Amino acid sequence: MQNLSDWELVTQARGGDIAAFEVLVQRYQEPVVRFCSRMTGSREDAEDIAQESFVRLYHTLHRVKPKAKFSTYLFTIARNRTLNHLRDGKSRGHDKAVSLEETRLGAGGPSGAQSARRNEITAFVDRALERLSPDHREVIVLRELQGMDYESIAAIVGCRPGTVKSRLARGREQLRQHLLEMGALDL
Amino acid sequence: MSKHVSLKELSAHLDGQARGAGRIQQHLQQCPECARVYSELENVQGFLRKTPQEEVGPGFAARVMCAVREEAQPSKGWERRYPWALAASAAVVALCAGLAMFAMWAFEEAHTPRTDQEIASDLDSLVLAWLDEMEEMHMEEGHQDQFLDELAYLDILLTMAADPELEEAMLVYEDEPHVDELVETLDEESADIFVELLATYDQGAWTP
Repeated sequence: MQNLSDWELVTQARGGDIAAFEVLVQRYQEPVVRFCSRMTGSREDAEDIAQESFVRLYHTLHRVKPKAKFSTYLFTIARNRTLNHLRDGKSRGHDKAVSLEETRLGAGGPSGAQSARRNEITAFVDRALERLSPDHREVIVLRELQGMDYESIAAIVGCRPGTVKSRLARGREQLRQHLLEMGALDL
Repeated sequence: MSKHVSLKELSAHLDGQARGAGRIQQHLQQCPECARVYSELENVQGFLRKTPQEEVGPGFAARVMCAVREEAQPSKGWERRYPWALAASAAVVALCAGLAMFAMWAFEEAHTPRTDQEIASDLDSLVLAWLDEMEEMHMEEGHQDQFLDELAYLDILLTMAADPELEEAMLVYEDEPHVDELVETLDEESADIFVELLATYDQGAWTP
């Protein structure tokens, strides 16, 4: 079943094969949780939103069209849930951002230094992303962390590819300014 | 030297999406200002891509499947999953009862039966007012997606309210092909809720 395409799994799941749906969950759990996590800044919130998104997906599988890209449909659900969550102000706050001080203190030996640098980068990125508006943050996350093309991003956020291009430029410029202020680009 | 490349084009160039990539590349070789900004944008991109990929907790998929199975169980009915639908049903019953009382009063007053169109028009206005109220409530609470679902059901109710064959459409919906078509436009779960709403009409002794 692992070798089946998304569409084949959707068809089987629609017919009541819950194991087929489980394969879809396993296939997409990481990108969806990662997206929600970068958007909310909270790993705990991200898993809750991702879970709700998969449950919603299960109930609306009949809406997935054969020619449509399955991941686009799934990310649209996750994106809408995430924005509702942010609008409701339910966020439990940043629970995964490691402080820069912590990462420096934790460094010991070559592998420790490498790991500390990785944590330092994550902390900078989290802080810089947090300062972006959700409109800019979502296109940056979908492009840079999920590797999606402009057309897929446009379909998920419900705008034209030209708008994605503009938002990416503004988002990147703001990130550049924030990271320069933090002195992060000198790393 | 040509004028500076816009930020939008530099950003698109990073993704290989800029028009005139050759011209931009040539400009970057000649313009230190643009080359610096572009290099910093590349660093930003590198930074984002260097962020470690988070791993999902080991029990995540199992939790999702547990939630899916729980939701799929028939014992967990629509009234528990959608408590607002229960409130909506109650409101529909109250609305119908109010309208029925109004219709009876009007009948007694005028001694002339009201036409189906008049009843439909009254119901239409009441449902529209109710819709506005529900929209305000759900928008305030930030339950836009629930509201949109709800709107889909109410859209159907409105369609039915505007139907001159109102009484038959509501009470004998199973025999009405156009109602079946409407129900078919809903997903299975929504259709179930809708049928429950219609059943509420049956129990509400709708007697215009």
